[in-house]
Amino acid sequence: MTKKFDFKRFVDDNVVVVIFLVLTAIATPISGLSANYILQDIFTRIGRNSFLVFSLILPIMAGMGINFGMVLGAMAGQLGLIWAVDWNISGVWGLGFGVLIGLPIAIGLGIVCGSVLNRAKGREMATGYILGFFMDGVYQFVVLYLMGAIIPMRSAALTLSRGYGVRNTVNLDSVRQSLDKLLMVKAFGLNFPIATYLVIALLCVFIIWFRKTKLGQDMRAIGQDQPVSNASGIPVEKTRIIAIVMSTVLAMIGQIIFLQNMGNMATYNAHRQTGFFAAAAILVGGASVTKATIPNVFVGVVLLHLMYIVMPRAGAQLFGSAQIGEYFRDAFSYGAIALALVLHAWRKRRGVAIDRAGMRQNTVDPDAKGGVV
Amino acid sequence: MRNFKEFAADFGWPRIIIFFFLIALFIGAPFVGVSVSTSFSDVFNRFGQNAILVLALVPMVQSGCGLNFGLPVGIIAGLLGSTLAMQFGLTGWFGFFGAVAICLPFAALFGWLYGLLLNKVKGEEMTIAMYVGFSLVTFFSILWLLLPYSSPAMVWGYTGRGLRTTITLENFWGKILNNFLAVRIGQNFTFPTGMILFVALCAFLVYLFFRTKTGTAMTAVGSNADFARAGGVSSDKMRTVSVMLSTMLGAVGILVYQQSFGFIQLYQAPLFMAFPAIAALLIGGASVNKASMVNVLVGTLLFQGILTMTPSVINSVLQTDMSEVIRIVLSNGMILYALTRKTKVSK
Amino acid sequence: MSDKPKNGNGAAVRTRRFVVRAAIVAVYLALSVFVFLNGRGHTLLIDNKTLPDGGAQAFRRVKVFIDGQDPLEMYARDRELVKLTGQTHRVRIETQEGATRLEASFRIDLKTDMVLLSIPKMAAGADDFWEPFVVVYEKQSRDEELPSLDDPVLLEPTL
Repeated sequence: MTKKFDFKRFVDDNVVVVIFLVLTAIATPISGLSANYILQDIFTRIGRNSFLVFSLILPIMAGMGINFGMVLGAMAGQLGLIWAVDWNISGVWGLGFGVLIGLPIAIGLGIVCGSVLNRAKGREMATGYILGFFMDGVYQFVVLYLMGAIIPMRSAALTLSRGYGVRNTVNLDSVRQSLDKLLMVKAFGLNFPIATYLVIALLCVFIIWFRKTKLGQDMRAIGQDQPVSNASGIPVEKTRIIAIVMSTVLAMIGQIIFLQNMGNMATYNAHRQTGFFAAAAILVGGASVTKATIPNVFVGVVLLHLMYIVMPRAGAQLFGSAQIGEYFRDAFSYGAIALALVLHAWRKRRGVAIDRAGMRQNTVDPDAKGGVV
Repeated sequence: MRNFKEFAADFGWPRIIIFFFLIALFIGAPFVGVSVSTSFSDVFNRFGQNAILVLALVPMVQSGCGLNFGLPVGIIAGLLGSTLAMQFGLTGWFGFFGAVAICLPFAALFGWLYGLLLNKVKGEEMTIAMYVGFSLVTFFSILWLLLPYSSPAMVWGYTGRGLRTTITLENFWGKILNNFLAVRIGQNFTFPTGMILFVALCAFLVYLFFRTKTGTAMTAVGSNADFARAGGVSSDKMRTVSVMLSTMLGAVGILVYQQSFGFIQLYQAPLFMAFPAIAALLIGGASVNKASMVNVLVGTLLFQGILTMTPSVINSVLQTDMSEVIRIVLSNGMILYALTRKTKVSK
Repeated sequence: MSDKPKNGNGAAVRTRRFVVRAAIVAVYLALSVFVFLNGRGHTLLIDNKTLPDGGAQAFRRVKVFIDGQDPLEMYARDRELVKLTGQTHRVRIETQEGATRLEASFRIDLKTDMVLLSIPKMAAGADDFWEPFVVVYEKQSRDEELPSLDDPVLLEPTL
């Protein structure tokens, strides 16, 4: 670490992070919100969202880009929770039951998603995105028409009065914040949902360990160079499917953690924005399409959600309209995703161009460092 | 028989299934009490309403930029055109063509910048286009609130500023193309001659464009960039032109859509308008890197036909509104099918 | 991996894989049943009311302990609601008014959502001191809108 800290290089490598830092640094004082309020909200949101964002890491490692197909996992989690609520499995047990029910569904959907993405190599992200929409239709079909008609439902409070289909909003009272409240620690006037943090920490440990396993190494190898991996005997297609299956399963658990904190579930909308939020968070945190680390997740969740907390108030203070603040944050989140994707594609092309010109001295690709945890 | 199999493999089973599904819907309609003449009227109406938005996708597909998920960029230019035309108090034909005239320079400018960006990210156009479109739409949501529009027909009544979410075109140029030379047959059937003629004109112009030197060069860039470069064609320039053309057509497309629909929809409305257009083009037989006028016309007709017919027919048969699910599965399934299809190099 | 049979021992590998998979499925099912049984929630209504047939008198004041939870102080004609998970539960009372029985356990059927427990009846020593309680769910008209196209945060293609 004797190397001099190169400020320009740092900014160049982390444009998206820097932009978000500057934005929130300006907007936070304008919003006039108290530090206590903001911190409490941030700590709650870290518990609520990090797990979902983590589900994106493995496919990035395997060179498949941002897995927008993670919404499939979110749907599986919601199905699991619907059954847990329907049978009134309450507390943490209910969450566990939701996970157990969601597990086979998530694995199945993950296999489907992985296979579809294997047929669309080179455009995984757009395909995963559309697959999410497609499965949304299937999910609606199952939940709105089959549940209560073909799939038995017990609870009348859950079913639409026409006799089948699940209501627009599912009340998650029986499992509300059961994980958060399992071990709530009060300190400095703030509440910390330690149990949720422990689950997230466990996942971090798992990811660190997993990178070192044979399978994890294979994934990273595929992410670096597919043809070479194929030649060296790694089952590329299968490993890619496994990466997506794991991502889907993690997203399923993540969605359940998210929803237990919210305490309510918009049956037909809750999953629609998960992909967008998770992608925005990880990219805002400084990840690229080929490299994502655990710090990226936390930095991203904090920055993105800080902006989500302060922007409406800042908009209200500046323009007299919270609506403007809301549009601002949406525009910046979409813009952050676009910018991160553009920068990555641009750098990759620049790398290729330099490569082609034979001017490349160093063989280390700046974007394929493999990621230091 | 063998010929049919080849044809089917080439055209794609999903399209054939959709085609027969639509025919079945039309045959079944009278039996469940759905008026066929109203249905036909609706189909033609929606065909004209959407066709130019579908047409707008063709240049970018041809030049190898893929499916233009960033169509909202053009739509935003169109929205600027129509809102400015209203602000200036233009009505009737002046209003509509005024809006066209105003939106085109915006579309050209947006398209140029958008094209420059896409040239820097070759190979990843589609996802990036999607998010460029999203961020532009949300960014313009802010502008709709802040720009100094003042026409009382458009701004919120109580604050006197900020555009409304939907603005009626009734006293401006609503249905002006639809009603031009419209043919009424019986009670329920109206043929929107003016709009269809306008669509035909646009399609013909695009068709002619692809016969010009620039047009053929564009196709060449799309089918084989290296070969085109050897022939002295600048691939980046051709791609930029195609993106500009696509954006301008998108702007005109939304104007035609608005005059038929009767309203200008602002804010989040354009966010997902690219998706049904893309689905229609793909149903018409286009692939990610090849599209023709026939694909546009057939695809729009089929897709809009299904969208019109499923709610009425399926609902009367099943006594429940399944059309939403069918629409989502069908349109996204079609895009998915095209994205996962192994792209053929020849043909 | 599955398409690489290694010199001759393919059958052994296959049996082992089958055993492992069967074990995983068995563990999964067992875990599901375990979580289901332990997490199944029931609502317990506790009555301290004189029985209609006069068989047992309400207590003027009684402390009720359900499992390990905090005691409930109940006065005559009180009704309390307790949420429970699992099926077998203990109920214990403390009172100065004299009772035949101070402690009892009961087992709620898996299918039953709500149970009504009568403290006086239990104290009198009757075995049928609890019964399933069925709530007729009123059809609500609120929240009945079906998902609509006009949702402003809609993240799907619209037309």
